[in-house]
Amino acid sequence: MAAQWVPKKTDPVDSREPIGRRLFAIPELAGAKDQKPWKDLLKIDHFKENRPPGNISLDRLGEKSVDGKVRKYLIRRAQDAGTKLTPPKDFDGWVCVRADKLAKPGKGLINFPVVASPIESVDPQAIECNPYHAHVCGPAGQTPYVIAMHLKQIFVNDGKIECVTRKDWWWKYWQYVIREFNKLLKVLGLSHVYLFIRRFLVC
Amino acid sequence: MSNTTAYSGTFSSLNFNDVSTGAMGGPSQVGSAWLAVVERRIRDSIAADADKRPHDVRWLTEEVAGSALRFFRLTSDLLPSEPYIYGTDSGDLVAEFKSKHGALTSIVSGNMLLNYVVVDGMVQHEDPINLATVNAGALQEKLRPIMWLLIKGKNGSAMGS
Repeated sequence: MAAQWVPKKTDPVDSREPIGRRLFAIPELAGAKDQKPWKDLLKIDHFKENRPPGNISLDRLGEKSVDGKVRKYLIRRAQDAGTKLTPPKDFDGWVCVRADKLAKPGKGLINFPVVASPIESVDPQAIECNPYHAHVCGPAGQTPYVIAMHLKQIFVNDGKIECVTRKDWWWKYWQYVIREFNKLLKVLGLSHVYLFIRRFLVC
Repeated sequence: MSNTTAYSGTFSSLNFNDVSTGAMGGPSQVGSAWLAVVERRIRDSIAADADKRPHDVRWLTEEVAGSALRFFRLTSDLLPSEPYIYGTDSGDLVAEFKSKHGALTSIVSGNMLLNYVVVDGMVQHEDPINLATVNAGALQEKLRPIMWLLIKGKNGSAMGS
């Protein structure tokens, strides 16, 4: 069995490496839960970094393509990081793109060269340890929203989503269909049918 | 009740159902079919103590909700589609619109409106607009070139200008 790829501390990020931005669940507005979900919608908060100095954290997900062992190693760390957020958030997966697409995204978009920044610990198995950590810096003078919009667009143009939970688009869409069906059943006075469906198909 | 009731100045005294865009300083206009639904979603997301709950993206402050309602009422007939709305951890409201040639992301932050236009994969940022002082005519004038870009694309804009 092949050993897990671990980048050397001194190695720069290769242009072919898949780079992932963690996607933590962002709740809907309290009054807008009836909105039809958009497929693969990336929200601005997925890319906005309010903490100084504004470095945007990323994960190196493999050497040339997403590496299953690296992915598995990082999932536990990402889930743990989600519990430490205020308020705690579920980790849904990554949106990933090749490093060169971030460094040279093309006309009309800001360049974001990826810098390796491993998080070290005495114990390599410690949950805080992350040899795959990297970051990009936003240009000075730009607001967090501008930086987030450009990053988001790079991931929209060339990225793909690596889901780790059922909370992907199809799941959200299925829940939306069930909710709409429930409304219809209520109108028809058949709420007990919804309870039956919910018990066997939703939960 | 007449929909020309004067705006008394404090947001909490404002009854959304009774006030038209005209009462808030702009000419009345026919809104899009989705306007009532989006207004209801925003109204149902207002929390009196939202400013005491930073990072709670489920709730909006009265100030942000009021600015967002004003934005949608003044421009809904111009906007390309029903927006997908959500909150940010800064307490702002984001409205995403899709169109043939791209997308418009409008952010209501306090009483400021920030617009980011994505056409053919490129991001373009527009100057911030103060929703508290802008009138309907001026706001629509600022948005019209953006809508043209979204509907016709970059080439259409060049041909039309």
